Amino acid sequence: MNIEKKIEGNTATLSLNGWMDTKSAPEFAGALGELEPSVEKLVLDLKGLEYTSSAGVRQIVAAHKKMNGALTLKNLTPEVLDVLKMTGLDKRLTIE
Amino acid sequence: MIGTALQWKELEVSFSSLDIVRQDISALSEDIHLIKKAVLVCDELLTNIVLYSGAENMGFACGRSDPGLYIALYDDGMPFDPTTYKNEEKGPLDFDSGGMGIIIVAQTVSEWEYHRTDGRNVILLKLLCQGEEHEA
Repeated sequence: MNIEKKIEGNTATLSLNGWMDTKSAPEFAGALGELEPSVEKLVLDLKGLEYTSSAGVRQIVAAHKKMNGALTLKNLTPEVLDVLKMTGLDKRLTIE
Repeated sequence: MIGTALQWKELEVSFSSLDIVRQDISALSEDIHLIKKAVLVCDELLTNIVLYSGAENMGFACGRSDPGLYIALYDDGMPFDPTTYKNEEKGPLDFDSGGMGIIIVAQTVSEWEYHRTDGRNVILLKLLCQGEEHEA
């Protein structure tokens, strides 16, 4: 998995690309941990995320908690949206 | 239901086995949607085995089962039947302690069976191609 980070003001955008499985999900956790304290909003651009397992979904939940809900998911692929729907998270997260 | 002539492949009880499973499944079909569903199911079940079962051995088999694929997994860990797992108390944002993976598997497969045989958990699963799912 490849992760690109962009900061604009107090908003960080992480673009995830590739497959986020049990092995690669910790890379996302690492990127979350490296966010500057000044970041108040987080956007996950998932256009390039072809696959996620529950390990990835757990990291998305962790991001939601870390940002106190100031998390937006955008450009979800059908496969990733399907997994979020299975867990009911599509109704609890902000998805554009 | 799925067929009995399984060609088992022994796997190391570690996350590195996911690469072998993904490679074998990908060779079965050009239907990328079906392949991703099959890999997802194996990802979830293998992760449970590695993290929670205490298994020292596990194995995997897969093949075509028109109009889809079958997958079989075994491990010699503690008895656990995922097909009867219920976790209705957790909310969507409260999956920190596990359970999400099995919920995903249950909603992804078209059929699955569990057997405890010779000290092993054996799980048999069937996945259908997109378009066949609603007819099953």
